[in-house]
Amino acid sequence: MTKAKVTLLGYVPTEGVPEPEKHGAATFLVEHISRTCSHQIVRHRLASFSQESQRYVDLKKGGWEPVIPPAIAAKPQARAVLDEAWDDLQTAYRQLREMGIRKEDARFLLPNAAETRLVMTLHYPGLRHFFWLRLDKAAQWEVQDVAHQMLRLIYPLAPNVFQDIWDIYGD
Amino acid sequence: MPDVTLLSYTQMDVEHLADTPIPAGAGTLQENLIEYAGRVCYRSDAKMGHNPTFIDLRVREGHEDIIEHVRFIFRVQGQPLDREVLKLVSLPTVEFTDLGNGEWIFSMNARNVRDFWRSSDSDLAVQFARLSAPITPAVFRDLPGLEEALI
Repeated sequence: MTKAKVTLLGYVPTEGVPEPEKHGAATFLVEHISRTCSHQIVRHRLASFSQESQRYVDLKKGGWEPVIPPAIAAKPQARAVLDEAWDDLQTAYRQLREMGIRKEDARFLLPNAAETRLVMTLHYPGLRHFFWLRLDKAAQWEVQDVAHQMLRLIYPLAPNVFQDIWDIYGD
Repeated sequence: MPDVTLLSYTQMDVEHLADTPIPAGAGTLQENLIEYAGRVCYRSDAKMGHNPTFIDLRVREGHEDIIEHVRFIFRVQGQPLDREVLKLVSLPTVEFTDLGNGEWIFSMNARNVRDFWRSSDSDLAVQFARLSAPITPAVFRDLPGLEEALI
């Protein structure tokens, strides 16, 4: 289980449009994911992204929790190691900020576990490619969950475009 | 002169967006989507709709990724395969279908519409911008010659 949350913000209807699998598109809000996950998502270069900035948003504003991998969460000793490291990094970040270090430099201490969120728009060719790669059982658990949530949201709106993917990965 | 029709563009279901600040925006729904994308970057969601020039300012400073979240689908008739079409389809994220006999389907985002308008003095570029402008006026306000479309 991840805490990732995907919301469909908008989509481009394709009723009556020739080759809807080329011209449709969807926009998602992806929240509560790690920077590890977002690094994978933003490699899909055909997509458009707006991601929360660590240059402009201060950690001390709150709302950034570490994303904990299930394998670490399941092992109390491992969890304790991660929690301690996270606390130390937060303390160090705050100390740098109190010394007048700018957010863009203090953020060098933020780990991949740091939570982020982004708005992402993909046309259907790009989204189909994203699904084939990220729904695969070999994909990383967090991005796999994000892709599943996206598929559940977009499939009912464009079943013909995503039927082959739904047949394999749908609920 | 090619005949251009707007077939479809980004739609939003406000009821499903009640958990987001998008309905609080002061523009068209599509402008609110763009503003929200920008505010996600700065975590300034609480200020949605407070600044009517938010999008204009972001576009002016070059933060144009936010306008990519709105997309349009156009039908074009009477347009030969010429240099302008090649210019258009070479823009990233523009998709096209060649229906033959000068008929095309083009889909693109608002940034593509602006980029094409800037790089081409063709009637095609002007028509795309004219049809897109009423959907997201703030994105096109600075382009000369579109005043009529923005009323």
